[in-house]
Amino acid sequence: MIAAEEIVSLEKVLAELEEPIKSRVNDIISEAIKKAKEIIESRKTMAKDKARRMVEEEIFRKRSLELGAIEKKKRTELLKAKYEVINEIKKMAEEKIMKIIRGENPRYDYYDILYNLIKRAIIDMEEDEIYIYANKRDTEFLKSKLKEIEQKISSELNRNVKLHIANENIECIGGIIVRNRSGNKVFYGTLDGRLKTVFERKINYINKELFKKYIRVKME
Amino acid sequence: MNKEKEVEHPIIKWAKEIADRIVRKAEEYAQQYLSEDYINKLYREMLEEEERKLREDIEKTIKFFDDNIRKLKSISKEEIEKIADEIVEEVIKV
Repeated sequence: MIAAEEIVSLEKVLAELEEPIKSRVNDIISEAIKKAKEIIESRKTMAKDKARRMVEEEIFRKRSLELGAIEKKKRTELLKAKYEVINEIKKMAEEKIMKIIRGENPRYDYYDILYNLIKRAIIDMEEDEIYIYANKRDTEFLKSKLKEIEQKISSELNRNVKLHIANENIECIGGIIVRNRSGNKVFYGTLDGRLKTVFERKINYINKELFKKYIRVKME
Repeated sequence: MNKEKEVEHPIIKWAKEIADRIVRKAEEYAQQYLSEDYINKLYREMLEEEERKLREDIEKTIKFFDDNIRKLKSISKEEIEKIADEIVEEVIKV
């Protein structure tokens, strides 16, 4: 830069000059100082830009790797926690249905449930003669109540219905599958199947309503 | 056409020389900012700052997910049972 003695001598000279020349000299020096500052600032900016580009490249890589890995891990943990809640609800519903089937819940009569399923099958299939498939335990039970059910439904629907209990058993916790004589119409009424359908529908509600009450969607 | 050429005052001439020197010196001085050492120094400072922000973001992310997981685990048995009961009702309602 310019030596301090030079600046002092410049000031001395300026003090002795006529006003127009003094003013012109001031302008020339001011302009030069302004330009010098701009040069320095522009180099500083160039350096900062270059360093920033290098940092951005590096930090983008680090963010993708480190933050990405953490997010992935935590997202999996969150999904697992959700799955545990969903599973607990499902398990509880299954247990409650099993209690109803075993007659351990005084609020419900499993016989009524089977009866209503058979009646619903007849109405939905628009058939008077049907073949009922159930698990081994329910098959025995339905066989023992066949005439009673047949008469009750006939009376309630005001038409003669003919029920057959199939000898083959189906694998399910409870409920029935019904077909017409030709087999071209089938009614699926196993409790397993119904639980699956209802549960799938309910998952949407669990996700939207239940989890929404507990989970924050965005980070602060 | 043959105008007398205006003679520049020696002080003005001198001021211009000083001005040229100021600009030249500024250019020489500013070269340090384009050196590898200076850029690397800036790079290290900026990287340190960005890494600090990244660590903060990682901590925020962990806290965000951990809070949500903890809240999910705090869902009461009663609330779970209520939904299970609704499901059972729908299953047996024919």
